[in-house]
Amino acid sequence: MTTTTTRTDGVAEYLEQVRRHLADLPDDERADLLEDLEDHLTELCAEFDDGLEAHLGTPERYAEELRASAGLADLAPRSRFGALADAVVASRPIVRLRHASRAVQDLPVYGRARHFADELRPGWWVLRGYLLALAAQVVTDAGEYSYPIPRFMGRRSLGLVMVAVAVYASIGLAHRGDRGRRWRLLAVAATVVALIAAVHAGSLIDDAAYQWSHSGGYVEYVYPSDGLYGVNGPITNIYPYTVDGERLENVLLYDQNGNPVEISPYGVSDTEYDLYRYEGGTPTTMGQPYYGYGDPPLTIDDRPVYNLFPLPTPEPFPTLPGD
Amino acid sequence: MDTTQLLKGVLDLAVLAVLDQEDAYGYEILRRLREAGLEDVGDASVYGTLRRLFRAGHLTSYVVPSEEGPHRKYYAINPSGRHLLDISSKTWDTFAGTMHQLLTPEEVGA
Repeated sequence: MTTTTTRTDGVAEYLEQVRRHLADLPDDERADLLEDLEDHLTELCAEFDDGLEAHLGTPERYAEELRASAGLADLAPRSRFGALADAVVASRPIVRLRHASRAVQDLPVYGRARHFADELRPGWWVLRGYLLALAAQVVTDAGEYSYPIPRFMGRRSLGLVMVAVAVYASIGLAHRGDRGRRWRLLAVAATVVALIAAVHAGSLIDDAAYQWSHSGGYVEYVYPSDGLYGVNGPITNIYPYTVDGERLENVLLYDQNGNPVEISPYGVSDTEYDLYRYEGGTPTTMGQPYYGYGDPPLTIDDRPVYNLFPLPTPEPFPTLPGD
Repeated sequence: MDTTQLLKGVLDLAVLAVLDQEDAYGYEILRRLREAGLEDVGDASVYGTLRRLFRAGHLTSYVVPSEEGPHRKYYAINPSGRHLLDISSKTWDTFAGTMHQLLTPEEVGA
């Protein structure tokens, strides 16, 4: 009686260990597989006089053999989510996409592009370090953003040190990427922060250009189709002379394409535009041509002529330097 | 050469062949396989194979009460299993023949 109890205990223990080694299987699979294993093992016990392990090997090996022969080896660590992921990967569009990408990878151009991208990587690591230093100001200088040279504790010189450290860290991070998941995650995080900093810096560049153009810099809006510009600035009138110094009037001017050369008030800057004020059809400002808004002085075949020079103006012909 | 690797591929066929002769319970099948010369076959492999073939619908099972010891679960081959056995044994014959020719080339010319 005692021996029988011991044997049955041996079965229970062995079965329990096998069960534990199959714990990762889905519940229903495991239950089905082990359904009559207890009966089976008890039966075996009756055949052998010495313990189960002497005949069957360790419970662990037994479990692995069971798993393999029952065709559950592939099923092993799959959760429901894992199974879904497998189904997606095996689905037709994804498979096609994979084939397509493999075809692209076979092209020689892909190899060259890949090689080129690889050569660019160290450059990106340096840039990433710099961008991280820019981003670090959010912490170190409470959002006081200095660009293009970052500040550290309010000082640009320390900011440069910070750039150097960040570049060193970024390169180090790139080389540790293959040391494990944690390093890779860190590298991805650094890249995300750097990209955000890049977008932010990009907007700062726009701001800087805008501020520059509205403060120190002088930007003139010129409409090339309207008006005339010379090296001395906008041209508001043309006075033709012959080489003998004789004034010419009523001269029609055309450009190289046969288009009439016209001077319109749009050809000059906003400030000068203000000079074109008319009261009752006559210009109030001396020296400015008075048409452009008003009626042209001349029409040819009922078409207005704006390229007749000099434009009518109260101002007399200028005195030439040679006179 | 490690026979366990070879066994993996043909264990289905071996188990079906044993059951085609006579219904049997787990340990009996193992014993008959070993008696036939497949000494490396493991108990877990036979048990796992039986469960898989049963689930796939190639076997039926029934419990026979035993006077001494536990009840025994007998497995029997059904038409689906017999069909599988038929196909598998033809595949095996072709494969074995090919391997045999490959390993004894002088017989090819004869």
